[in-house]
Amino acid sequence: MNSSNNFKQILIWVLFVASQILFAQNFVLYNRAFCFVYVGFLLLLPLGISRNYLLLFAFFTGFIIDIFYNSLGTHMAAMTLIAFLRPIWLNAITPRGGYENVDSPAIKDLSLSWFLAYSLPLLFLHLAVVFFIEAGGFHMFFYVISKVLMSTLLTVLVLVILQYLFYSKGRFS
Amino acid sequence: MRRLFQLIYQYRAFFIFLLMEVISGWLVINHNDYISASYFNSSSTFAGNIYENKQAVQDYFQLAEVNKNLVEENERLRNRLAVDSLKIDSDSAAIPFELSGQYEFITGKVVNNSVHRFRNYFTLNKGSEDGIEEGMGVINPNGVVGKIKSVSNNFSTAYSALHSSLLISVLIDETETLCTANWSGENPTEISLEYVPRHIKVQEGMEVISSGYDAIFPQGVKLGTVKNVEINEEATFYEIEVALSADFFNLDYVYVIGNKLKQEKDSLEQELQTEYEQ
Repeated sequence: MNSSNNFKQILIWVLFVASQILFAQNFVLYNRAFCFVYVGFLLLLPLGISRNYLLLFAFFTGFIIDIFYNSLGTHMAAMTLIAFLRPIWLNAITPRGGYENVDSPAIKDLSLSWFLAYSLPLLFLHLAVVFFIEAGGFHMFFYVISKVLMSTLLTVLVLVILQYLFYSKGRFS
Repeated sequence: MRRLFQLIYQYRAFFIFLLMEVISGWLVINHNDYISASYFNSSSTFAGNIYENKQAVQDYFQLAEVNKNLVEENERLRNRLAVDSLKIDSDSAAIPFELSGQYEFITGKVVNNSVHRFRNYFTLNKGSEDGIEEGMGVINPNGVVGKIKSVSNNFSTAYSALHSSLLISVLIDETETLCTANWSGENPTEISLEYVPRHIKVQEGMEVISSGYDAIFPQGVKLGTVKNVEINEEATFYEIEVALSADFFNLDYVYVIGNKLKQEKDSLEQELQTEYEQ
């Protein structure tokens, strides 16, 4: 990665975290569907990034979000888990023809259906960790699972829309 | 030994992952339910300033609502003055807690708030420099709102009453039954009452007020009205839902309550406790 690319990633990080804290935090539908758009930063990072950096970024991002959510540790745990699983999951769902000429796992380089297959399970896991830690156990299992499902769908929808708006071909590169 | 290091180096991603999960797990367990002067929450200067600026923008859209609330409160206080001024002089009448001199009130403004999570918090724009301390109660004109969790110089974070591990000591006004209010985590307009024994005759519409026994809230601050009463055949305690009188979707100005006699009460009770233990 060269330095202009690094700078771009930092800018994207700031945008994702700021939009989470200032807007997405208050965006709740029907008391069920929450929008955790900041996870998109981790999902959309370039493929070439090393595992260790990925873990560190995730840990730090989770820490910042936790400060604002007053839930120290929760988002850190969930983000680290996703960062650890991302390379494994990327390997498991390698598209036909591999990742040649693919910069980051986004819709512009691959397809919408591939992106859904990639992001849905990871987001589901992330939100399940967050909500179950927050609920402090499994005593409200079905209520929490419904929250997780609705939030996963909402977050993926927002991420897809964001990508069509900002990540489209030739816009940034 | 060398091979061990080689192994660790080879799987360093996994070990970093493990280490980070352990750290965050430790933080989850140790940091969240305690009242502590933690820097890593929304009362920190960094987070507090961002939230205050965000609220400054949102303020313009809430001005009408805030004004309406303040006017209503003014009217209520004026009415109370008109009615109560005679009573206060006589020896027999109970003095309202606002006038007893035991409590001091600090106004604060909510700059960030949540209602939909299992553990809800809000952030106030006043901190230790304005006299706020950990453990103080927070009310608004309509009723009980929360309890201060941690304080920095200029900001403080508080547990909302909608926090699944915050317990509030309350009375059912009519029957004077002491019980505990605790939020179940689902509906932000309701709170559950626990430990109401079955020989008490509870009815819908009864008022629930703070008991004052915990020295956090003065006695008589409204919490809500009983909305739903159920009891099983074998159960010892009722299952009661109370409609909260404060509107948590719409918190603006709140009062933080300092109890000047809290220390005295606590030390007295502690003395008793140590005496019993011996």
